Amino acid sequence: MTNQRQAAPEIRLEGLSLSYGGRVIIEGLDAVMPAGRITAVLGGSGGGKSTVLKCILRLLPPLSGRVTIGGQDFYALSPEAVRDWKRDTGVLFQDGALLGSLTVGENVALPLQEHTDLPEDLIEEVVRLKLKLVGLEHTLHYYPRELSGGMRKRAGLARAMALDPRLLLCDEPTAGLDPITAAELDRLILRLKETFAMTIVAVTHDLDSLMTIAEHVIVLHKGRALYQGDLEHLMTFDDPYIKRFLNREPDPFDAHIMEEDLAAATRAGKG
Amino acid sequence: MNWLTRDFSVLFWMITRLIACARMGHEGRKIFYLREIAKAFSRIGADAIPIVSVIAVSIGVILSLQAALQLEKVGAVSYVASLVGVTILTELGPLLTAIIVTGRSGASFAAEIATMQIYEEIDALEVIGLDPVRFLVWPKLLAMVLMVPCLTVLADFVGIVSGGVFSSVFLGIDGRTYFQESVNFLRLRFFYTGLIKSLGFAVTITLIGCWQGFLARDGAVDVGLRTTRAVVQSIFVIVLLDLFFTAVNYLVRPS
Ligand SMILES: Nc1ncnc2c1ncn2[C@@H]1O[C@H](COP(=O)(O)OP(=O)(O)OP(=O)(O)O)[C@@H](O)[C@H]1O
Ligand SMILES: [Mg+2]
Repeated sequence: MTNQRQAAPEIRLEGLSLSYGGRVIIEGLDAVMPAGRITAVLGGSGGGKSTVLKCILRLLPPLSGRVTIGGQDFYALSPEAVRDWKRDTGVLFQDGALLGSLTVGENVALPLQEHTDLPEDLIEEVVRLKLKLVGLEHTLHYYPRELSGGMRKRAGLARAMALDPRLLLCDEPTAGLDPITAAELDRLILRLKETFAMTIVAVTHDLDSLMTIAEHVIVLHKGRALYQGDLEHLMTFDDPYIKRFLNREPDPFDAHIMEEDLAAATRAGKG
Repeated sequence: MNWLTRDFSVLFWMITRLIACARMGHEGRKIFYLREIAKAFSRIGADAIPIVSVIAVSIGVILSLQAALQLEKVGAVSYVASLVGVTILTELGPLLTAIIVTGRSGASFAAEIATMQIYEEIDALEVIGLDPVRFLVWPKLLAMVLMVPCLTVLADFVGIVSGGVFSSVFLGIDGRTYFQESVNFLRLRFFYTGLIKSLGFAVTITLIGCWQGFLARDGAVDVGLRTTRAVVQSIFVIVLLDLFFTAVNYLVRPS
């Protein structure tokens, strides 16, 4: 970890198509996630946000197109380069994805034990430091099942930060949290970015969170990028879907159908 | 047919990674791997001792009773010892141990890995740079390959001794005669046959349990489904393997 710190990388998606067993989810997506900034990936539920993230994590090879990270084709890296990349990347999963069989401390220690040759007492020192960073130093010996959802996410963030990554990927960091905890987590992410000069990609459909952290925004809709650019521009962007998204309005067509269904259901209940 | 190729490619992936694990050197001695291995040993081996012992006692008693019932018709009660011994060493010891271990450990392998799959823990392992197979399957395989034969030896011993005690107390066969009969009749070969079988069973249970776990995809229902499949498939393959081993053993028997 003491070696020369490389600059935060830029992620580029070029004509990316992704599918699950023949069902195409993302089609011809072109997008840039700029170096050293926070990119928010926005989109409706089931829009393929997590799927794109999975691809950036090397968990889902693209059907076609490329992912480049720091200028290198990501799915054509040598095994050593992949290892380096894993060391330099932190990931916060949707529910923290802490290993249930290990304590919080052991979870945070895992990346350190795998990628460094630090002695155990030093590792424990670093683990305490990282847990302190997210305000969880008292949970060192707890098991993940003994934590609340918000605490699990913060612990997951501590694990993601264990090796001072250059790239941090977060899947819905604030979903399912109360507004105060969510705001705290947003602030934490902002602080991390300023302190460690990282590229951060956060998938979200939380508008408050978006306003707080986003510097660059990608809106995914129907497998494509509907909008790409900075936050201010997004507010004035003229697209019905984005307008509805930002104003929290239902799809007029869907809303119509839903009202009819509801009426039918009520009638059926009465009759 | 699509799912079939997918399922088997997962099995293939697991086996190739396991072979890589067998070849690794210093890397595998990292503290958390050792911790996982220690956990696997105590869960698979130590924790199974009571249930294996209880079932072995019952089998010893059942076999001596059944043997006595048949043999007394032809006035050959003294053969109870050899019948019980051979049956336990070559057949029931390894088979029952394997079935108990399938229910205890094979099912828990599948449930554990399936749950981890659903909660993205497997993805998290990959992303941290830990090989899920090395972290999850390899410790289990090591523990199984060592502990299942040990449990089989335990079952053999407990079964034969309890058969002997039962026969001498309730069937009026003199204890010393029983012992003598066992020593005269039983061959080391019977014992080895059983152990080789139990090794095969251990590998089978681990591979099928972990494989089914990795195949889990959507939701909690899949955990139950995969666990059931792991148990049913394991028992099926164990019985087939047993048939195979027994047939080979029959064909190459010394005249
Ligand atoms: N493992 C999988 N196998 C098959 N299809 C999947 C899988 N994971 C996701 N999908 C499908 O891909 C589509 C996009 O899913 P994804 O999880 O990327 O959405 P998302 O934008 O992250 O939604 P959310 O905001 O609810 O998390 C969905 O229609 C989903 O049904
Ligand atoms: Mg998602």
